[in-house]
Amino acid sequence: MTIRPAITLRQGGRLLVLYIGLILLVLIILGPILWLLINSFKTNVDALSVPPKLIFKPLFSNYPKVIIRNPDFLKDLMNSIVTMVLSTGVVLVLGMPAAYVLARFRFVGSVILSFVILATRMVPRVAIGIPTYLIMMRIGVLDTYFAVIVSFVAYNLPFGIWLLMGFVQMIPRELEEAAIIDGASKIQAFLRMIVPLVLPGLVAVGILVMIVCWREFFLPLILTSHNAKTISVLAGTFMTEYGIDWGQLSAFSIITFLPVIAIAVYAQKYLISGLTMGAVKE
Amino acid sequence: MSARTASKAGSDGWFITALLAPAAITIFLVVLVPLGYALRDSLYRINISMLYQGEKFLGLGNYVQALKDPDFYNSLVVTTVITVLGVAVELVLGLMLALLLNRPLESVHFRGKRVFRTLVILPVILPPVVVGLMWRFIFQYSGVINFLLISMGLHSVDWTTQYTGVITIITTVVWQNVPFSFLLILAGLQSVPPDLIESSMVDGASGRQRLFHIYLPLIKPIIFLILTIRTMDAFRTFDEAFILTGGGPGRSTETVSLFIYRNSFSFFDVGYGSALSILLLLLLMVITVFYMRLIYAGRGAK
Repeated sequence: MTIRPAITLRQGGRLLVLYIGLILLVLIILGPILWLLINSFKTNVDALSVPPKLIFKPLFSNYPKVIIRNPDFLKDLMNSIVTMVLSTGVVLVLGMPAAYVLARFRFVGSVILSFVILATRMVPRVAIGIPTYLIMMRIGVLDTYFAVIVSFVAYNLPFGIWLLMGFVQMIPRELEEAAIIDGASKIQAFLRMIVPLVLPGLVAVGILVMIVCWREFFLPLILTSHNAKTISVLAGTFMTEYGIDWGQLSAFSIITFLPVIAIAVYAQKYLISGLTMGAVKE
Repeated sequence: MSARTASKAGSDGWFITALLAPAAITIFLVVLVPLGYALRDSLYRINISMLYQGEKFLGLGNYVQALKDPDFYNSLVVTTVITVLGVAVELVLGLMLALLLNRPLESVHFRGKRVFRTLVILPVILPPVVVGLMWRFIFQYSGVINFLLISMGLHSVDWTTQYTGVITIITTVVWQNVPFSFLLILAGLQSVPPDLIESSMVDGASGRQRLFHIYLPLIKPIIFLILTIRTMDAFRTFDEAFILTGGGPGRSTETVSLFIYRNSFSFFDVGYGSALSILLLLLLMVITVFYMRLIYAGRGAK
């Protein structure tokens, strides 16, 4: 009876700290994004006014302007989606079997291979981008999906394998051994046993790789010029090509945020498991 | 297990090869071959605007040029400032937030937990180029930051000068990456056994003592982990500098990656750019080894 009020008091204090902390954090994180959202409904003049206008006549033409009247937008959006999906597909299809073998078997070169995979995480984009640019130029495929996908795979396959290795290691070895004793071949054990069990991991890695591709700026910046240009490169050229219309730029930014926000909302579980696996495994 | 798998290695050979070969060959072709090319190209003078002139072998000429290039040193200093300040602020803020919210988040159940997690993750996964645009808007001369300064009775600041430009870049980088530190440290704090905290409370340890004698030692590996990952990333900063200041005014906010990009694609000196990127790679390797030694030295002492 004497302890009770103490606990509720402490709980009350915690609740207060929690809410103050949360509100601060949310303000800092959300503030800039909300500001962008508000300004995406302003004219350029309103967006630049001092003091900033919180009450204004909302303008709905920024979004259609960015999407329809900008001849590059839909094409570049399509390019981003295509290169992102294909690169992620390649990473998962090639990465899954490799990750399984590296996680489960010891053989000549397995240590070296694991090391190479880890070491490629250190390689700066410039060190891969510049020679890839020269190679693509020499074989005449600059500004194609092929060039972009090759660079995306280069940047994501080693990391993807490494993440998937972590997910494979979480599966008890006894399961495959039992399957093999029951007469399944190794390939059957892999396809029917491991792959379904690693499926959440595959989804997590797939989502992470897709986000990395969506965010990628440097590689498509140097490897593309027009046909295969991605949405991030369009973002980079936004100011020089169109002058600075901050209202339109805000609308454009919000549109590029949307897919990522959707992933954060609908696939949060996978996203967190991918992010923490990536960090904790190091 | 190694003995068992080793004895079966012969019969596993075809299986391992079949599953590994596609990925191994791909990594060889898209990562190692380009790296080999970079190494080779770094020994040549290659101008991509005048390819008809052909390539000229320079030996280590490009490397010598780099070591004599004041602009290269300048970019190293800029990058180091951004990395050290940025990562330090990220870590401190991440730690503070995690400590502040750890106990309440565990002991209090509230409805918005999921929403909160979603919000916290958001900055980490947004495209850096667009985040750069967003902060450029906020930091522009008639933007929100200056408005806040004026309403506090201060003056407007030009956020794109030699010194303020670096602050702009660091702010953007920090905003985007604090959640990463926060989430990892929070995960670390939540793995601290509750008994340990309870018994320290019974023993009458102060909050400060708990921080320095229980929490910090236990999450040290995670702090080092964040330090390593974030140093690697921050040292390669390109997108934010490209968007926010373009390296200017002059070269005062030019990061190493931006410097290499300019030499390769604005001045078309790809040989020099290749040499510089090899140097950057070596530097990153040195930093990694340094961190690894710190981590293992810490473990050995225990």
